[in-house]
Amino acid sequence: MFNEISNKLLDFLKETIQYCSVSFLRMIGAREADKYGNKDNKSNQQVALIRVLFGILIVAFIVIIFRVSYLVVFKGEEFKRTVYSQRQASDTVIACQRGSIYDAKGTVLASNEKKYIVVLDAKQVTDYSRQMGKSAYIDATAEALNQYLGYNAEEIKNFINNNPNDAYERISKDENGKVIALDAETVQPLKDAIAHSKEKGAKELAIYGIQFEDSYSRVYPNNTLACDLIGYVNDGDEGMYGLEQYYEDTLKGVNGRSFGYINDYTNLEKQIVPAQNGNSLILNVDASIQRIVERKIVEVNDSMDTEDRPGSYNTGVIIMECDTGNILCMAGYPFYDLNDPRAVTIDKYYSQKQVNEIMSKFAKEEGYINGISSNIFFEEGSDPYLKVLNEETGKDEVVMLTREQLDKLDNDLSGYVRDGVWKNFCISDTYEPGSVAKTITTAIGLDSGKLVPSDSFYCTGVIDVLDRHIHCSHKWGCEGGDLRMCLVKSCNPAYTQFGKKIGKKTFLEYSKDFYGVKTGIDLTGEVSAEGLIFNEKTLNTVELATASFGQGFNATMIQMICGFNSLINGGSYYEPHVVNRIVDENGCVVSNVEPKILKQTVSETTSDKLRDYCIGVVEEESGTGKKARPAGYRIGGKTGTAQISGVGGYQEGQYVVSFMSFAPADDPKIVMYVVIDRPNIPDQSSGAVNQACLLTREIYTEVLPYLNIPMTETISEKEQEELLEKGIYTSNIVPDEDEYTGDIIEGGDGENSNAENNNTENTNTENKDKTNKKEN
Amino acid sequence: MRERNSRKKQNMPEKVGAFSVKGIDLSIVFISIFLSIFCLVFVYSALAFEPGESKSFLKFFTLESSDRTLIKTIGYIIAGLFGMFVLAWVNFKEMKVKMPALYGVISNPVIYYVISCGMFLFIEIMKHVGTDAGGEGEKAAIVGAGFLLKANGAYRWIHIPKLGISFQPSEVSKFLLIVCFSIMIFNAGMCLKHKRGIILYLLLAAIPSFLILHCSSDLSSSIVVFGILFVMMLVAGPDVKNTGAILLVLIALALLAFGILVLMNRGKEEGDIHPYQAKRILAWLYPDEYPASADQTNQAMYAIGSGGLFGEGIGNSMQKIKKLPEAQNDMIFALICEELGLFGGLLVIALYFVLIFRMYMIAINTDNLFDRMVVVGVISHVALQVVINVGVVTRIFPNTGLPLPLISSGGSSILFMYLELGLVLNVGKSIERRQ
Repeated sequence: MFNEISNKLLDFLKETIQYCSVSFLRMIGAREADKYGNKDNKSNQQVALIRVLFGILIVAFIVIIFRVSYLVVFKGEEFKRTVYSQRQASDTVIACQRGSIYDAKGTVLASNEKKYIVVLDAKQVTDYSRQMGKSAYIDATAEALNQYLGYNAEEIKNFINNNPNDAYERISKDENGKVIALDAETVQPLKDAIAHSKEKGAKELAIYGIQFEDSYSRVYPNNTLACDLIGYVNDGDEGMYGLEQYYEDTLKGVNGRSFGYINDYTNLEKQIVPAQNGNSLILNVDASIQRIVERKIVEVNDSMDTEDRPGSYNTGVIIMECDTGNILCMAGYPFYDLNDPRAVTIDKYYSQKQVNEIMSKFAKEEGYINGISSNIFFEEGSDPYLKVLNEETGKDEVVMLTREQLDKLDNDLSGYVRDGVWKNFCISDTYEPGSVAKTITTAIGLDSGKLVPSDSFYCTGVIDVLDRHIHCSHKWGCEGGDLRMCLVKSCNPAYTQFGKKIGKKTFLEYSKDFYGVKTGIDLTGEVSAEGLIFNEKTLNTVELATASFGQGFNATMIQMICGFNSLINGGSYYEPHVVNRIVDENGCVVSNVEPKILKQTVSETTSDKLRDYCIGVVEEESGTGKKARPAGYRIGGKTGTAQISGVGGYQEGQYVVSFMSFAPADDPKIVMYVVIDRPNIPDQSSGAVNQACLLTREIYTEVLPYLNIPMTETISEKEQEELLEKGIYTSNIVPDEDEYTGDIIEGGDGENSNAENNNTENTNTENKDKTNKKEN
Repeated sequence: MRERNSRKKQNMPEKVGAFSVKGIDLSIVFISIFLSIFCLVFVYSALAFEPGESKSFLKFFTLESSDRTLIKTIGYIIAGLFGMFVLAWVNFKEMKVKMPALYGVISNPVIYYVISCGMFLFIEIMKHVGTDAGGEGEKAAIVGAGFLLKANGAYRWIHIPKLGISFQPSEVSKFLLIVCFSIMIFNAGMCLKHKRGIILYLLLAAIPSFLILHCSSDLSSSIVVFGILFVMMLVAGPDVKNTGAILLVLIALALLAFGILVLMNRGKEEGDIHPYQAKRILAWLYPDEYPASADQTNQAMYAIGSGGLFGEGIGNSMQKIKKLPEAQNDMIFALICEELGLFGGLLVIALYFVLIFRMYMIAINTDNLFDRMVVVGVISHVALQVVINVGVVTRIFPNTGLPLPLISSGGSSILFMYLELGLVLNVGKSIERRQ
């Protein structure tokens, strides 16, 4: 049996080996070929087999085509995102530093603080823990973040486990999920812990995968100081309003980059493009003056503040250097905190009455109501409603508001309030300048020769221009006088006649220099008020008459002060400049901003006369600006009281009061313009302007000694006491308030100048006598 | 009758070629040249992305690696085209009459077989000679007394010291073995009728395949070589039952090996899996669980997907920078898709299809068994590499490194693919002659 099988097997093997060896020898051509086609033509079978195989190949190609198309068409977007996110990992931004802003004396107004964004590199942690075979490294990282920064350790662990390839995740976020940078003090303990854990012989596990990305955030050390002037920086690191926006390109730097690439030998190399820091601004503005002015503005507003409305809607003050056009100070009340510009809330700046008025206005604009309403009523348990005067029936109608409507109104309101607070009143708001414009009218008349100083007018209190009655501020007539006295008394009827004398053509020609043109100040948001002034078509008899005393057209504060400055400095209209020079990060000057005369408005002689007239406004017994005179100085100026025009004519009891002035009178160094928008005092028509005069006086009292301008006038005992109270006149009083830090030296200077004054007192008195004689 | 028709269809216009080669299939020539243009453009694009000063072709003395590769590749393409025309031009029948000695040498399969196997045995021997330092990473190192080039820990190149040229024996052996086995089938085709003969044939085919796998750790080339020879056997086998049975047995064995590899290594940590083929198979089946091994294929798919319909533009690929390894080589199809989009990818596939179709027409129209076997071998070589290469970058197959014929950089691959095409042209020419 076994033998049989083994024999068969042996036979089989023998046969196989024989067959194979013969075949092999044939294959290699050693034996005569056993040619295929010769005996058994299988050609057709081969062709069929080739066709089958080719068919299989076609199927394979179709599968491939479908697969590639599927990847492109259905996965394309997803993969594209992946490709970009992978790129970011080896590409990090090096933050640049925004340029700082300094005042004329080097005080920092805006600078940067280095902060840190915490970045989690999940890939590093995962790779390391895989390499070491321990997942404890992930725990160590999560624990460290929990311990020092208070992040949820579980969430961090989950994140690392779910995204093991994510090498760049910013994890320092606020509650809204927005990435924020943390203070240096906050992250320092974590930094120390990481460094410590990687030291040799440390007991704790090394902490991997936490990185810190530098980031700079803007800080304003003086909070509200010069807020309208400086502007702020928004979340996107863009300057908003003021200098920050106007000088955006100068201030902002260029972010650097650090990225990897593969070199000739397929090694990863790191390339670093350093960050370029922005240039800094050095201003003409003096922070000490700005501080004095803002304090005074707040004081005067606080004094007028009542429950239902603030002291004034807006208060603006500009101080400008006479001979350069440099802005020494620019303040627009209300102020806001530059470090937290979004903290502007409604009730902080507006009374409930104003809020209701504005809201009703918006309600009408939104189309919720169709009449005028003065109030929104809130009652518990019901929706808020408005009472609207129905014009047909003369009765109040109640309009209910839904919640959505109210929310919409609230939204509109906060936007309105923010814009109102953020914008710079001094350059962005227009108003009717009022009597201050009489100086310009006078200058036009004198310069064109249409008016001469001896032109006189007798005022009876009212004059009719066509159908309009123009009243004088003195109800029974101010009696008038020559040109000078008319300006001193600010007589409206007189100016209707002067305007007529000047004539439309000359008036238009000259006023082009003053009204409706941008001054070119280097701040964002200046308006030209071009559409709000007269032109050849609209300036008819009545309009010419009113325009002559500053009503019926709009102007901005900066336009008025630049125009007035040219009238009293000999006719040179300077471009106003806030910035003095631009320096780079090392303090080297990049560019200087030189004073620039834009145009010559009036002649030297006209300017001399105007100066004399304006001094009269303050010094004459009947002058409207008497109250503005600061102790120890002579100044000149012009008051302004303008009605506010609203829908349907001038609004009752709503005035913009202003005082334009220059000091010292004989050789003007500075020009100051004070505007109070709707001061909160009962008798606005005649007494309100005194608020502007008083504010002017208060500011001059402190600013003139600060500027080392010597006193020239005798000081009464009462005035001396007043000055003593302010700490200006003696060296004995050491001021303890912060605002006075800059004034300590000036206190001394003030005394010195006083000593000089005492010496020259007699001569000065003589001078004054002389001028008095002249006037007589 | 049908054959006659199709033969008429491919009746080429009577032109006299550069080497007075009458009636060669010009479409194959032009498609191969077109693919070589793709090769030059994308190999250069894959390598030339270093930031910095722009390079010009004239700066010969400060050549970047991308320029060197480009010039080298141009050289190989020219050499390949030359070789192709020479092979197409030779008339073997006349040679048999006029130069019987030379014909006797070139018609002897043993010579091809010995050269093929000898190269790998040479590698095996030289591995143990001289230093073996370096070559573990992507950087190549010359080892083995200056005769071997080692990269990624594998010995896939033979280096000729004096000339400074290295070549890939696996590419050479593909060409040689196609010729060798065609002659063997021509000589003793009837042996394949019986199972014993088939097994003998497969054993003869398995020896070089094993040597490729063992000596230069190149599984994919080994599979391709065995695949080519197997397909040739499949077509030539006179008894379809026998060859079919062997095919089924082999498929079953392959699936078994596949299953065992997966089952043995499933659940292990990624770093513990051996051999690396198992890692790749697992990464292919479960890409999310083996991210490190699946990364290469993932990056290729990201590249393909992100290209969109018309791509990022030539030279604008983002993936080729650091992310896509071997972008000039095995992954070049992904690069083409990223830079030219779906359009470019389909264009390449269409070109290959037309190339293979022309060769298929030659294969079914020739009557000579040797000629047919050569063409079938070349077709299977091109088709297998195209399908596997594109399949790998789109994750139809597990990751394995194979060049895309004529497009991937690599001198040996390009040169010998041209030589194979030259043989096909020669065969095609003989069809024309007979008419």
